[in-house]
Amino acid sequence: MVERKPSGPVITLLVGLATAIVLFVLGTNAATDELNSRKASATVAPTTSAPAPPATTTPAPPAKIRVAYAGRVDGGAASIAIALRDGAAIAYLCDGRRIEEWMIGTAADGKLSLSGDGAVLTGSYDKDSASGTVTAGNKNWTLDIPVARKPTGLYRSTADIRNARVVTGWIVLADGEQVGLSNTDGKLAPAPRLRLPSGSATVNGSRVTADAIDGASGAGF
Amino acid sequence: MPLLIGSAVAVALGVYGRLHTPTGIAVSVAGFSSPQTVKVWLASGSALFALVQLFSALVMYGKVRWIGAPQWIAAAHRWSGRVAFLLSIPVAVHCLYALGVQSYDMRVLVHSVVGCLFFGAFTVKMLLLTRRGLPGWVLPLAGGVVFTALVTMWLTSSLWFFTTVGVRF
Repeated sequence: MVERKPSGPVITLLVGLATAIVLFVLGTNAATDELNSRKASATVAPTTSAPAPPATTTPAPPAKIRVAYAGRVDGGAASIAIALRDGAAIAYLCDGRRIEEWMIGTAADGKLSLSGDGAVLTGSYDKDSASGTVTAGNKNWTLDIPVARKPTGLYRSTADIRNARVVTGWIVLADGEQVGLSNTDGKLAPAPRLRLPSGSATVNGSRVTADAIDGASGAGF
Repeated sequence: MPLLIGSAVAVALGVYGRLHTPTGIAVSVAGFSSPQTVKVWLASGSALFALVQLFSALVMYGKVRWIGAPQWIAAAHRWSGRVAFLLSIPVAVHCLYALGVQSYDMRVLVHSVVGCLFFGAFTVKMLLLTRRGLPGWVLPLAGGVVFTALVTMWLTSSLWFFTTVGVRF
């Protein structure tokens, strides 16, 4: 035995790698389980005990769908925009006053499944519209919104203004109305007018440029 | 050679994180309100053990006079390091699998890049430990890089979460 020193560090690395692989495989299965269980139930929060799906078919690869939807939720109390890009989904729910929720998730097989900090959106989509239920805080709304064609759609800007992080979201509706909020380190304020098509706006006295989150450009994804 | 392997690890993680489509989905752990809070606390645990690492390393190099050089300090250094590393793995797997490498603002970009570097640097450090006859400055430097990277990871994620979202379980 020339190599007297047992290579503990190498074992540490290998154990780490093995752990990562196990978690990765578990994660992949959980993702599939969770998607299936979310399809079954619109409002139940994801848990570790997601029931195994009866179906054993492997999920189809995400369709190459790149599209955005925008509109008011049923009742008109808030607006929502959803952007899809190759199976990934981003949504923004906003009432222009107190409620805003950024959500991310998936769009596959015609089903939407998104969640954010305290918000869940489930539903379905096709080439013309998206529909479903969105829950934010303890409120929930149903929605059925059409495909958005520019300049209608979802916009977002992120800027550091005077040492504060300012994230502003805008939903531009088909009738030209803009619904948005500026979030400065958790404090909400009405979003300034978004100038289109340039996408510029003046937030807290500073000029910012918003990205259109529309799936086609990939901005925001 | 360890440097090459470590670089390969960092680059591979970065490429994977950049190329695959983030799923946005994760496994929740019972008792926590969301996968994010699970990560925040795992990462904080890892950072805490990283501080133990820094301290025990200083002791081993005789920099902490009042404690001397107790027998158990080497074992403490090894085991706190292993725990810190293991705690960081679920966090990293979730980050890479569900979120990927992103660049939409400075915090996220720094976090993404340093995250890949951290696992590369850790690999280098572990492989260096198996080498004999290294110059004396090599291990402290490698350890310092690993520690700095882990602390940067914590600052750009958990601390950010605590200060912007609040301390939640």
